Amino acid sequence: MNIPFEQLPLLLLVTITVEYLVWLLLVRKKPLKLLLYAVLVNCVTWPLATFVYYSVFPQYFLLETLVFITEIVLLKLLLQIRMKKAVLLSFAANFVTALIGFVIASL
Amino acid sequence: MNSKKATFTAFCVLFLFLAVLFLAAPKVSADVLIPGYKGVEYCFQIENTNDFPDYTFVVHYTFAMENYQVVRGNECMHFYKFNKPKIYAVKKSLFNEVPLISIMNSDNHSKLTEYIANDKNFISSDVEIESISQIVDTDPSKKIVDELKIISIENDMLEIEKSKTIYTYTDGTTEEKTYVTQNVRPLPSRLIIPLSSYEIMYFAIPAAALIVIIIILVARRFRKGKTEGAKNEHSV
Repeated sequence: MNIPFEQLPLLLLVTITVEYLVWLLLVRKKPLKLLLYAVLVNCVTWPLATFVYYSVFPQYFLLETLVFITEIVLLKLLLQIRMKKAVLLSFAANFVTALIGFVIASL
Repeated sequence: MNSKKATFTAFCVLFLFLAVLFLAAPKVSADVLIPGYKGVEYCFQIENTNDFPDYTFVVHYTFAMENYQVVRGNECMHFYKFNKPKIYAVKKSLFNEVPLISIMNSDNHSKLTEYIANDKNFISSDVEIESISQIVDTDPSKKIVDELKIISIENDMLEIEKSKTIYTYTDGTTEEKTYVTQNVRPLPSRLIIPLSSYEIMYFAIPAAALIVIIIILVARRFRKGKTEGAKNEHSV
């Protein structure tokens, strides 16, 4: 199995940082709490998506969609926001991380 | 405990947990047979060289113990696990193996890279072939073959795709699995993967994070209930 375990902490940290900054930009309040939620939400979705991608089902867009939906639910529950806002936050964060991923992969 | 203190405590617990997980995880070395793993034979073959009769195909093994091999039909090419094979096509009328043989007979095999890079007749492909030398004990495979397919040969580009992986099991049967994504080798159906301690991280981390999320949500609900109770008491 070629899961990049050695890179897991770094990749997870990059994802958390990017998603946190995107959320912070859109929410602009309670930054510490938002950081905690960014850590928690990404700790739920990122390792599972990575494992499934590398060992079971290498379908990037489908997995990214599942992550997007899961994050909507978690964000709505944790931030106690409207569904529309949760969709926006999840979409923006995942769009930016996917974009960065593509740029890095194409280098 | 106020809200800020609770957030800070949750942070500390989570980071401590993650730090312990990462530090406790075993590091994998590429050159050591890891306990729970066994060796496996690996090679790759090109299925349709006969569709391009005007070309000779050459594999340049770079990185370690530099070498080359002229592809003959769909023979399976074995190589040292740290080699990075790079495939080239050369017009048969322009291919001259003598310089390659003389470099291999010399002491400096690294001149191969220079020679091939400078010879404009060598048309390179960017297909990445990853050797596999170890598999988990529970994998019934004894041989793994990656089959490549030549898509096209243009002036300066040789397009090759990985089409399938053929697994030969210890009982002699074989199974073909098609590549869905070029950089991910399809796994054999008969493989049962026991999760190693580091792979467990991929489930332990989400589980831990989910538990913290549930605690936060339950605590919030509990606090809300308490506040509402106090309000009701106050109004009575």
